[in-house]
Amino acid sequence: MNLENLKATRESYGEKLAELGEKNKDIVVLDADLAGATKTSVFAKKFPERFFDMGISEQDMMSTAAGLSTFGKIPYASTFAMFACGRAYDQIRNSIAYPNLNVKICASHAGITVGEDGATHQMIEDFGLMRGIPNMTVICTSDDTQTKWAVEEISKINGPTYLRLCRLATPTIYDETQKFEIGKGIQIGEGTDACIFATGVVVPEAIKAKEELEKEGINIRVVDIHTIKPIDEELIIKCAKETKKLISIEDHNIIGGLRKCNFRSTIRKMSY
Amino acid sequence: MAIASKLNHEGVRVYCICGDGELQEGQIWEAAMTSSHYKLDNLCLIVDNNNLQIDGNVNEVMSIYPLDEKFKSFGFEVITIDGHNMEKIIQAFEKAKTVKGKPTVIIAKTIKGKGVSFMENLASWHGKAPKEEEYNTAIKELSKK
Repeated sequence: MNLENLKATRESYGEKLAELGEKNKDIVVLDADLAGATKTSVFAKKFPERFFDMGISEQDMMSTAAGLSTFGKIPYASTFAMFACGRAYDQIRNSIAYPNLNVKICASHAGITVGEDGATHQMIEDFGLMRGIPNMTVICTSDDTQTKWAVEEISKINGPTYLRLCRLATPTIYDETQKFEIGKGIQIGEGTDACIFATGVVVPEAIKAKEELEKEGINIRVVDIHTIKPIDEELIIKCAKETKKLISIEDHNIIGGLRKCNFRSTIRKMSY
Repeated sequence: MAIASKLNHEGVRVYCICGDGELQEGQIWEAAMTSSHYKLDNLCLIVDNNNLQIDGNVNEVMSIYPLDEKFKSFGFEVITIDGHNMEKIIQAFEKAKTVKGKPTVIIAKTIKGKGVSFMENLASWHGKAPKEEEYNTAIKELSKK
């Protein structure tokens, strides 16, 4: 983990999206007056004819994205997570997910790490809201490398996707040799004293905790769950069996979040 | 869809039907703004203006009027017609095709349940299926016309 190379996942998103726009001409980008903050502005500058600022109209942005996808476009719709999942929930559910349309909802400023933007902008229920919707894939990336992979990878899935991005600059965990796969968590370390499941911006914190504990002779492992749905049940159960102690950390409400996913997976296994 | 059709140079015209009660939704006006901002002259909106919604008369529940002025101020070409007159409907569609640089709305004045004596202009029929006997009577009445 490179603690010097700090970068917010929204920055990685903006850079990769502009690069992807070069390769894939079907990609169109929509934003709701937050292009500077969500970093879709990088794409907008490069491809103004494929960028649509919808103004502060998140509901219409989601419906317009749905319409664009019916003509073979791959819309990436961005705003803050609170406004995407909160304000436009109805449109995401009924106009994007139920008809299984190929829209990528890439929401930045998720969690409490938005800092001075305050409580009204701290989206801590989005996993719960998005996981419950049929057809929706839910991803939350933890660093620059993983985010850049995810931005391209979701363009290859034909269906609605929610990608959770953050405002806070965090360390780079992975180098370019790291392999990622949607639905597969990443186990860091082999420790059997406990297992910390983490997702998004808190993964580096979990790794730091692992390193601190090692100094005290306690060997734990960390699992980076970048795909919240479909969740990697196999890995969760494996780690439950091998460590017997599961801890979860997330920048999200424990109701409806990663903790809930872990419990469901392990309880289901125990009842077999 | 109208934006995508323009992007792809497909020349597709998009027709969208709205009830009048649902014009109370904020999203309608977000979409109306978008339609004129992006100069979607390939978009034709039809408002089924029967002035009835589940709770009663639209003007009593939550007035949407004046509708023509609202759409005009949102940048639409506005055509108001008798929604039961097929000749007027066709004329309106033809006129909408000639409008350039802005979307068109056809405000079709209608009577809910028209042609079925016991259904006409009654909000209570908004979301209710007729019983078999009622259905047969309704079909008989409609067939006479």
